[in-house]
Amino acid sequence: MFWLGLVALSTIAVCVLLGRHDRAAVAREWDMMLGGRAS
Amino acid sequence: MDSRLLIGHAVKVVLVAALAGLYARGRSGRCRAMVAYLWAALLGNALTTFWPDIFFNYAFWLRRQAVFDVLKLLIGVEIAVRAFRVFPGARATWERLLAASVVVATTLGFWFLPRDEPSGAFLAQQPQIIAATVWLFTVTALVIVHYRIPVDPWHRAILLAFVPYLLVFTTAVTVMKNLGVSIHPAMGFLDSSAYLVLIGYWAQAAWRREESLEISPATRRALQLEGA
Repeated sequence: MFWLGLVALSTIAVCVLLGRHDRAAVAREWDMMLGGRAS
Repeated sequence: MDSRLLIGHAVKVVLVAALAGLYARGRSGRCRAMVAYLWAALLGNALTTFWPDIFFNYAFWLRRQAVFDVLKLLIGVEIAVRAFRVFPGARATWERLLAASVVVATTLGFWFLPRDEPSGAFLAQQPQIIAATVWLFTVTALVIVHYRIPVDPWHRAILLAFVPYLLVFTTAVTVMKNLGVSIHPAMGFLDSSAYLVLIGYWAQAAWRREESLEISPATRRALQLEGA
C-alpha cells in the first residue's frame, strides 16, 4: 500500500505540474528574457 | 468473443495508429525509447492475441513486463536528457535529485524486499518498480516546471498519460496480490481498458499538428526548437 500511495501522490503531482504547462507561453518568456541576445 | 481479447485487438489497432502518426508527423526520432516501447507493445499484443494458447500465460506476461519495465525507465531518462540538453543547470539539478532518489529507492527496495514468495517475487516487486519509474517521471516534471523548460508536446503527452495509467496498473497489481487469483479477470479487464485509453491518447498526440511558436529565430535556435 505504501508504493501505491507513492504512485498516487506522484500521479497527482505530474498531472498538476504538466497539466498546467503552456509551452508557447514558456517559449515567449524565454524570447522576452533573451531579447535577441540569443546566438 | 472474449471481452479481453476484443480490447486486445482494439489496442493493436490503436498502437498501429500511434506508430503511423509518429512516423507520418516526423516525431519518431524525438523519443527512440518510446518508439521501441510501442513496437514491443505491438509485438507482445500480437503474440498474445493471435496465439493465445502459446503466449497468453503468466510466464510470458512476466517476460514482457520485464522488457516494459526497462523501456519505461529508458523513456524517462531519454525525455529528461532531451528536455534539459540546452539547460545545464536544470540537468545538474535533475541528476542530483535522481542520485538522491536512487539511494532512497535502493534502501526502501531492500527494506521491502519480499522474503516469503520467491515464485511471485516479480509480481510482488511490480509496485516498487512502477513507483521508481513514476518517481523518475515526477522528478523530470518538477525540474521542467521549476526551470521553465519549453518541453516538447510529445514528451509532455508521454509523461501526462503514462503516469495515470501506471497508477491503474499498480492498483490492479496490488489488489491481485492482496485478494488472490479470483480477482484476476476483473483486474485484467480494468488494466486492459486503461491501456486502451492510454494508447488512444498517445495516438491522437502523435497525429496532432505542431503548434507554431511566436518567438524570434535566435531564441528558437538557442532553445533548439527548430522543429516547432
